[in-house]
Amino acid sequence: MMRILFLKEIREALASRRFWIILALCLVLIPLGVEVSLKGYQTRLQNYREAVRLYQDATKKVQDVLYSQGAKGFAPPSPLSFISLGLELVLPNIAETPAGTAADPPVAMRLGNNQGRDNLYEFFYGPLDLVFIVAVVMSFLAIILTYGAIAGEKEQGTLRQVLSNPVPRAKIILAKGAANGFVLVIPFLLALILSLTILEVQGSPLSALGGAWTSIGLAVLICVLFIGAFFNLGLLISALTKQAVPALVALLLAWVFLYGVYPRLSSAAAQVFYPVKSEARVALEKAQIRRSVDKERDAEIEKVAQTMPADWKSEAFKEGEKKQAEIRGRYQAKLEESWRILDRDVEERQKARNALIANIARLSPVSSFVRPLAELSRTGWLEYEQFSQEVRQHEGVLNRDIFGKSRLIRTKGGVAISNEADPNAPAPVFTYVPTPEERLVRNVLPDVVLLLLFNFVFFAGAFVAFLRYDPR
Amino acid sequence: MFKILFHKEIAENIHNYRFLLALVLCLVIIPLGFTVSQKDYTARRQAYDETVRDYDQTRATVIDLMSNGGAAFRPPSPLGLLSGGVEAVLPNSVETRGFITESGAEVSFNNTKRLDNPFMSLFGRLDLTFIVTTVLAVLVMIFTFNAVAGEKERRTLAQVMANSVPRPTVITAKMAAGSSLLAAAFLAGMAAGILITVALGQNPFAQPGTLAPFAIGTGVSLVFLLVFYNLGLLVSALTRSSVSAMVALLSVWVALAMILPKGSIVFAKLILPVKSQQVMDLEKSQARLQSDREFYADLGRLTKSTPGIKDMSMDEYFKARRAKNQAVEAFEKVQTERKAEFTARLNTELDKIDAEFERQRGRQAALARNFSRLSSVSCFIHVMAELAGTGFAEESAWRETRSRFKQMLDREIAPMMRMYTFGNVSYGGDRNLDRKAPAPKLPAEPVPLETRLAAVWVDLALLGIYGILFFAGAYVAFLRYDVR
Repeated sequence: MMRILFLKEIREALASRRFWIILALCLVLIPLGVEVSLKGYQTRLQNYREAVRLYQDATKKVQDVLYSQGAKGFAPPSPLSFISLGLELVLPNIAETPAGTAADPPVAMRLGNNQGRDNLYEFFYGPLDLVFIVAVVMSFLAIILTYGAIAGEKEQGTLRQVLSNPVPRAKIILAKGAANGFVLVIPFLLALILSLTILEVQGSPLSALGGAWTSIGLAVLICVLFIGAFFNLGLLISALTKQAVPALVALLLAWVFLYGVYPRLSSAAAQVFYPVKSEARVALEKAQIRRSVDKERDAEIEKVAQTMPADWKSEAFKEGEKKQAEIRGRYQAKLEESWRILDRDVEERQKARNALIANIARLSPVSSFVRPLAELSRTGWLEYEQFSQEVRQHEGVLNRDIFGKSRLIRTKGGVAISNEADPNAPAPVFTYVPTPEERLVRNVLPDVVLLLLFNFVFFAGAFVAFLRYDPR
Repeated sequence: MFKILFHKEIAENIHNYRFLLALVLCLVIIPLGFTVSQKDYTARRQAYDETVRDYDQTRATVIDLMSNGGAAFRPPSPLGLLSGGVEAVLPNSVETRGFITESGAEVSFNNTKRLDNPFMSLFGRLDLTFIVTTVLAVLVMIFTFNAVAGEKERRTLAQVMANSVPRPTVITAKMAAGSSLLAAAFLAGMAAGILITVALGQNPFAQPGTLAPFAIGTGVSLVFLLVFYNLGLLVSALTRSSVSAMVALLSVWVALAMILPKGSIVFAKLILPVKSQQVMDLEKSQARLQSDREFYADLGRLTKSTPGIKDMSMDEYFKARRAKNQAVEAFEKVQTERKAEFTARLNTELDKIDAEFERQRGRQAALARNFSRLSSVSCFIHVMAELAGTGFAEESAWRETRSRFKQMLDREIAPMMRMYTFGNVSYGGDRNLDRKAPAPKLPAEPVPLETRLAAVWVDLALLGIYGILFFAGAYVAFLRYDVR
């Protein structure tokens, strides 16, 4: 019976224009979106390579870092940005030492993003990536496929006729769900396979991530679950209403709320109820701490300098030099510790706030879809954490090997600055390692479970509403 | 007759709860959007004020500026509640890089605010532009999809037409009644939004010059709703069933609000590719290095060929300098002249790189902009971003600020710096500088409303044209409707 009903629904779908319209839309929009995103990625990659080349050409030796270019590290664009551009346009893509601070360690690399102007219009209009196509186009198609699936049959009276035969209701709704879901998901998967084939033919950019097939596979699963969630929501609302038009209106309002309003509201509300210091404020506080520590340090050093003789070869001068180095070391440790405490507090609050937003937002399937796809595409918050962590490690190397070797001696006559690092030694190179795939997978698993749950709850609701339908 | 039909349409929209739905949505979402946007603005404004205060305290004199670096800060836009625009990717300051030398200052943009709330970047902002183009656009669809098609389907239109009712009056009454109700709900939401933000102590008009753009933004939103209403009527008049009208409207909305604007920049980038800012900055940095190398090579040649200087040892040179030796003074004078020549040549080259870059960028932006104007949604969001001070005029003004900041430092500090070189020793510095003089400052200057409006007059005109075209289309389609 189930097979007959399933085949009937499939035949009906194939005979109607809906399937072919969906197929055509998927086959046009998805490869187009992937191709366009790929072009954007290639442009960003070319710019990244050019920037790295120009910097490395100008910074071959330690002396170039110290006296000319400063130290810089670049983050490459993500080859998976065709799935989700996520935060790529606002994530830091460069870390650099502020100019003029080389003689005063510790030197902190500042994260920056100078590609905002290159992508103003993308930022303004939003990207045409897979996330957008699925979140908007596929969810609309799911709504259009389902609003009349039950309500339409109730309105036309065909459902009453079907139910007058000895057909189990459970099988009817299961067959409807399976067949229409099939009609929606198959064109999507076909278009996706076509897009990935085109990617491979063009010389896959994915080789940079060793294929990243786990991420892609998981992203496809999340897409299918997301489409399924809207499809089942459509079935639920269609089963709860008596006419097709109110079902469509209710679904549209639900879409607006789940897609447009709720995720935006959750991120804004969390910021209101759980404020975290902005990066500008943290930078300001760090500068204030530095000034206060430097003031104390300079006063202490000045006292030592006043006792030092002019003859730099004398024992007393060397003693004073040693004392100054000890004072500098002490205050450097104090500064580093104060900064570390400030950074740790901000990071902890930031983590807590992000977890709060993610958890509030997860009540909408759209949020459980958008965030994990950004993470899997390596354009999300985890990528920011990864880049920041690597920059901090590089900062350690720079302070140990170059900036930490600066010697600043204050004398009665003024200041003498020198650096004991070998000026002709090769400059340390920042090498970027993307976030490990296992970490990404672990991070998105709760969202996969939630999407499964949304599918189950919506379908169960539709199932119960259909069983309770009174044809009289 | 118009009055009767108008009242009938008003009564119908009130009875079928559409007006109530619109009113509730506007009364909830607009104040919510205003409150969260203003809260965000208050926090950013506070950080800005503190940063400026800290800067003023630590850069009181010229020498402070020389030692700590100079900056000019961009205040956050007080009307971000109208549109977030591109504010998140605009720089929040322009800063000096390295030391200011006699060659001038090197200045660059700095942006430290982008990842303060990553989820806001990921999900988007709940500003008025989003509310109007998404939430209210869907409401307009719900108001219009069966305005004509529904009556055709139920055959009530045939009955109306059987009476001596002029068709133009019917369609005009439908448009006037529905859009008036929507406008009333929207204005009620706006009033509630303002009242609530003021009651919470976040008055959006606390900053001077915000009332006029806000009022214009409200008016433009009403015009956009009317344009979209007319589009809904057009689609409804062209279709025979409500469901087809709704599906067609949804598709048109997705195309106008999402596909067309996103496609415009893709199209422009494919046709007119431009290098990135990062590559440009590095190319300029290379040009500076190259110029320095050439200058020092030239200086080496000059030292070796200047009589009276070429045979001097380091000690002899500095002794002669202290003794005000004429050859040394002449040598320093020639150095200054050569330096000025190299600086002028370098600046010409840098200006040329900048001008070419801006020309290419301008062509690409113009292509994207004009293509996107095919969509009324795109015209609307551009107007709102400019009114909010978060649009492309702000970006362009900020680029000018960077140039003015550099010019100010080049004018007031760079000429006081004098560096000379002998052998591998550079000497001189800021001896001509009045170290205790107050540091030059560049206060933030908001872009005048006239300039912002001038940047979007085409979009405003197009919005009007789209409104008229859509209504004319609906009018003609309705007149041509065959009742049989």
